[in-house]
Amino acid sequence: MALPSPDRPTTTADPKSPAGVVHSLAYTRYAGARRSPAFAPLVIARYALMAQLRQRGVKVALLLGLVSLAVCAAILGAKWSLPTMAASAGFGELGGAGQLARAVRDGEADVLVWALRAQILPTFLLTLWCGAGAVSADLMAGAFQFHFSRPVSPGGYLAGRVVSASGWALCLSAVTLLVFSVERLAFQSTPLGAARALGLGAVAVLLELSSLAAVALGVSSLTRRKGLAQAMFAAIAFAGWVLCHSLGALLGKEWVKSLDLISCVDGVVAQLNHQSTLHGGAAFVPALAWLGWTAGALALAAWQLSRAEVNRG
Amino acid sequence: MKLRVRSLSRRYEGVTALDDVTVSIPEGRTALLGPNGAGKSTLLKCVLGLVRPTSGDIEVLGLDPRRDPLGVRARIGYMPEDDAHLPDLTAVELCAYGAELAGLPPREAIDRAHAALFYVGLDDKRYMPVQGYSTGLRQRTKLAAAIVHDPELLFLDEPTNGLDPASREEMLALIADLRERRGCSVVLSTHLLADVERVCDHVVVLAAGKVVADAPLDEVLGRGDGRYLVRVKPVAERFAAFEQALRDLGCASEPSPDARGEWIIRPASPDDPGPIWEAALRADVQVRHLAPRKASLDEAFLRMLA
Repeated sequence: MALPSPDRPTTTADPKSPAGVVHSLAYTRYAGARRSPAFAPLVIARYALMAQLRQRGVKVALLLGLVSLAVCAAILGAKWSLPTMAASAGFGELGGAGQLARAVRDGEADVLVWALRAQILPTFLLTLWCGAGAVSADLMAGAFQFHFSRPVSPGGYLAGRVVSASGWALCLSAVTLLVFSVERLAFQSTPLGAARALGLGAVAVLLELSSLAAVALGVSSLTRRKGLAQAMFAAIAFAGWVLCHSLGALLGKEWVKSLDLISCVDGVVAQLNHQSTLHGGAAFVPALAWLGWTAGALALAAWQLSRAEVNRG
Repeated sequence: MKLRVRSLSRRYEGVTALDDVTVSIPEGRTALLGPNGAGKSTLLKCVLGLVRPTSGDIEVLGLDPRRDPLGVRARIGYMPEDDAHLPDLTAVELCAYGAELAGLPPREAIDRAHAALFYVGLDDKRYMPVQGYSTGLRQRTKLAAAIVHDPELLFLDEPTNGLDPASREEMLALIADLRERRGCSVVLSTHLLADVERVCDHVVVLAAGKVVADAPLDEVLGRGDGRYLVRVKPVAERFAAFEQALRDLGCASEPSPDARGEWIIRPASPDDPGPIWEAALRADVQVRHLAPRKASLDEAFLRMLA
């Protein structure tokens, strides 16, 4: 029996039915397994990360991050290798062991600080491209209807968007942190010290990315215009930094400088490294500022989602 | 019943979108009709669990969308009237994404995305980003995304909007085929009454948030206005006598008989076509067809709204 040609209609409607034809009958019922709706945030994040990689801005930011990683790794390598060479050459025999121990501690602290600073601009750009316009673009394209007519809760949607807003920045920061930790181990540190630096660095990176992603999504949920959301995010980051540092200098209060979105994470990292200049009650300011930015922005985004017409009630 | 709604009300600030709505939607293809602002979209969103009703009960496929909205949405499909896509995704990716969100594993999702897109008639264009599509392609993509996870109940909001005649026919054929071959019940919300007559077998009419009709299409169309369609043997010289006999027996004939001898006659008593037979006997006219005249859906719709 001859099979019907794929180019030819396989069914024709009877005279009482619509005159159109169905071109393919490959679509059939599905009887296989279905996964839990708990997977929805991961699905949302995975597809968003795939789509983001097609944007030129994301590619440029990732390239910039890799260049920054290479340059900083070279600088750190040079910096860390000098005390090792000095100690092994026998310079300053009386204080050599102490200097080396201090250099090891300082070097481990360097891992945290440099991991953040090496990628501050690429991380910011990636969050700007991937997070600051994400909800706006969904509002504009009607993607709320697409998501919320499927088994996706507003919380699941928001979780997926947070992961996707920080996904590429997290990859970049994780690679950076890993390279610096391995490099540190190769030059001076003990495995335990390198592991400690890696662990604290991971905490610092997660703190930084979660606050950036939350604020990016918070401002993105305020408008349908992607460009406006991105401008608002950039203004909060840079204008906030300028404002807080100016006010801090004017008032002579060091803690005021750690209130903005970027500096609050630096403040927390300084405390992790035991290098903070804030004492007493002021020592809690960076952590509270981070909490305020992150929780406040996420609450704003969740509230905006609950107010969206398609999800009213 | 696929869907039961009992005493459903939804009030927004100062506006009652749904007022004590009670409808039962059986298996098959059901049309949800009503003028703008009648509450069709609100009803669909309540059923999908996107809008919380002020009062009343809903049962979709045996589930309560207020208690288990995600469970309901996993088993139904929704094709919205407006654009609903994701920037930078191709049609294949969009459909696979929708399937995965509905719980299908990734490999199954991509296979079914291709099958669904072929089914709705998208060939190699399925690898293009959706935002570059024409209206017709977007409508097809939305339909594919709505059916890709094999829903038991499918809600289509204005599926033929903006389509050219050929595409419209294909869309209607797909809607018919979804029920006939795939066993998927369809609820069609539309303003195009001609589409409803072509593919639906049950009609729910909403007006100002209230249910005006909830009945099989035949019943809605059959609720005539007491007129009968009569076809007689076309012997022109007997027509005047037939018309006179009808008048004598209290029947109104309208309009004038056409060339084929077709009459629309309203007897004095809508339930009794006896005077028509009597008039035919008196005028010696051979009756070949006599049946209550079914109104068009347009007429029935306007009558119900009035």
